[in-house]
Amino acid sequence: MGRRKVMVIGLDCAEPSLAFDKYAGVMPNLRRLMKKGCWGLLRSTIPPITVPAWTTMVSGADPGELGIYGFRDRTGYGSYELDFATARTVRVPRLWDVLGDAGLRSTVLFVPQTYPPPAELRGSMVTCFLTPGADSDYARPVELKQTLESSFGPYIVDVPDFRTDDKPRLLESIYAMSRQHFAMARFLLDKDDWDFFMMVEMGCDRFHHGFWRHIAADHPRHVPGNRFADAGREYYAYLDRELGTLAEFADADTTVLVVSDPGARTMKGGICLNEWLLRHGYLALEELPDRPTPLHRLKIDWSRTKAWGEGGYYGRVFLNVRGREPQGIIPPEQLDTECEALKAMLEAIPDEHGRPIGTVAHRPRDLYPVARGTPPDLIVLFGNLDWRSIGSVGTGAIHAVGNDTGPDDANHSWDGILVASGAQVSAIGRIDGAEVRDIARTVLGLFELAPPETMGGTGILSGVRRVREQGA
Amino acid sequence: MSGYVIWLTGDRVRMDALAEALRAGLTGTAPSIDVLTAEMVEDRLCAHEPRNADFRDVVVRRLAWLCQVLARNGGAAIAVAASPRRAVRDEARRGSDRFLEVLVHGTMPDGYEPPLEPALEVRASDAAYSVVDEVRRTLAARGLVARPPRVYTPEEEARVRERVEKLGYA
Ligand SMILES: [Zn+2]
Repeated sequence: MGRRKVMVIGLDCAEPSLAFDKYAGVMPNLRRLMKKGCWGLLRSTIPPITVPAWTTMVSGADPGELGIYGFRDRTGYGSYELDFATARTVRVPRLWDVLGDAGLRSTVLFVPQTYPPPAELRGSMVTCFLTPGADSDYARPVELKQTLESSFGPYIVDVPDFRTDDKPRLLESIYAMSRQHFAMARFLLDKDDWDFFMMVEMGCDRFHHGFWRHIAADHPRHVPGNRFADAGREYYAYLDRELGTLAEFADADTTVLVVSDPGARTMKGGICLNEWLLRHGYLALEELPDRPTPLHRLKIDWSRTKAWGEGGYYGRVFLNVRGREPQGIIPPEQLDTECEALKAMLEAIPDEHGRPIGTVAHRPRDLYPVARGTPPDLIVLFGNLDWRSIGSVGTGAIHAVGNDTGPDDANHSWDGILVASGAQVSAIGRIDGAEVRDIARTVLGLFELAPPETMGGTGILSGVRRVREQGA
Repeated sequence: MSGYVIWLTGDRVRMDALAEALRAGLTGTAPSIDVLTAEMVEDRLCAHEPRNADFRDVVVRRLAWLCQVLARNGGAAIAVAASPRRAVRDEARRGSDRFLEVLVHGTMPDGYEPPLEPALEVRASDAAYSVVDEVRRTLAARGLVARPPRVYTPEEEARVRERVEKLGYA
């Protein structure tokens, strides 16, 4: 056996029912990898969202261990402010840190939470979509930025103008971004002397949020035969072609992993979390807005506020506790009771017709062995992810259905995809029970390196997991 | 120019690498940054001391004194000592308002008495750069060093925030 290498191709939000089933016919390269190795669902983190899920993927630490519960987290109980979770927020070693210490070289492209880039890195890096712009310091080594720019033009950090009604242009922008990223990947796969290669392409996620209603028959606003009805098949076929060109860089001693996190599903609508808290006496404002307004633009009357929330693909609720928050009012000894009561009420919010939607609200202490940083008091999955959380106030209603939710056609769902293939992977077909947090340990296992103590999960390919024999 | 003392206590084995990372990462925050270990003090300042039950405490006290002298004169000192006894560390801390007690979790010496209120807790497995970052932030919060540069300028933060909101993440 020659030099062991590992290639991880991440497709943010690639949906298993599409990649493995509905569009399987247009994904010959993915099927080839599946046939040669193993494949299955890859369970996401709670919450199932890009930040922190990809950091869990590359560190093996769950969100509680990371102290990262979303894109923006509270900076401490002593303040009501939230701050971005960036590369600096990550306290645990990630794959390229561990591999670098072992003398191995990594090429790390577009992996969420890599901005700002480290001062030094054994290998190369292009930072993620949380990079401010093409003018930022986004590459390591530093001179790589110039090299990439001269070949591929300014770095397309993300899809510009995502919230647009001009769908043809949006689709073009998604393709333009993906094409550039895959071209950069090929360039570095060829040029770099890498042991570990990893890229995460966000295009698939942007495609789902922007076009799900057009491709998913179960979407309430799906129109059969609409002009984008085949756009999903075409985009997945395109991704597969890119996958094929990357896989050509894998020699006999390279293990290829194709992973996604999370998956995608139809979004039925949004629950206006803060509007609900306001109407139920948990949240008080100095002045009520007459149009939908983000909470951070409004003046909260903390002396009468027991709880406030954050919007997103899931909701977060924070309680205003005396002695914990700067102007807390809930007596600390009542925190538990208040939290349980609110949890029950949130879980009981029905849809706009009064039908139950099956919301689940979690307390972080029930989800993670430790909850570091400043965790929310409740993580709320409205309709178990059928509904999103809307943070704005002044919406005039608790439910936002129809066009109120903007272009967000899809919400995240629990499972992404996992495909593994290579000399170190036997052709065992379908495997069950893999989780996002298993990937880091799995990769280190392929290099026969010991994981650091913060790296949880299980090596998927080490045979520890229950493996079901089944032809792919 | 105000100096400072970073006192690492707990898992001795992990401290050398950590102290080295801190020394490198805090470069420029003080005119001099010295890493001083209990072993150095043993060799150079306690060679003729009787090795009785109090010996460890004597070493820790002398190490603390040395660090404080450096800090008083504007330098920075990083103390590396398992320093298992809480009372002796408390004494050391009381001697200076520029003293950061950092608990390094891991394999603790027998009879280790953890600080009741460490300025910072570091698990042995934490990535070194993040520890450096956190120590720097803590020193900055106490006005002992300049604040580390923010990840985003206000203009960049607004840009990223708008994008993230439009994408539906917030
Ligand atoms: Zn998404």
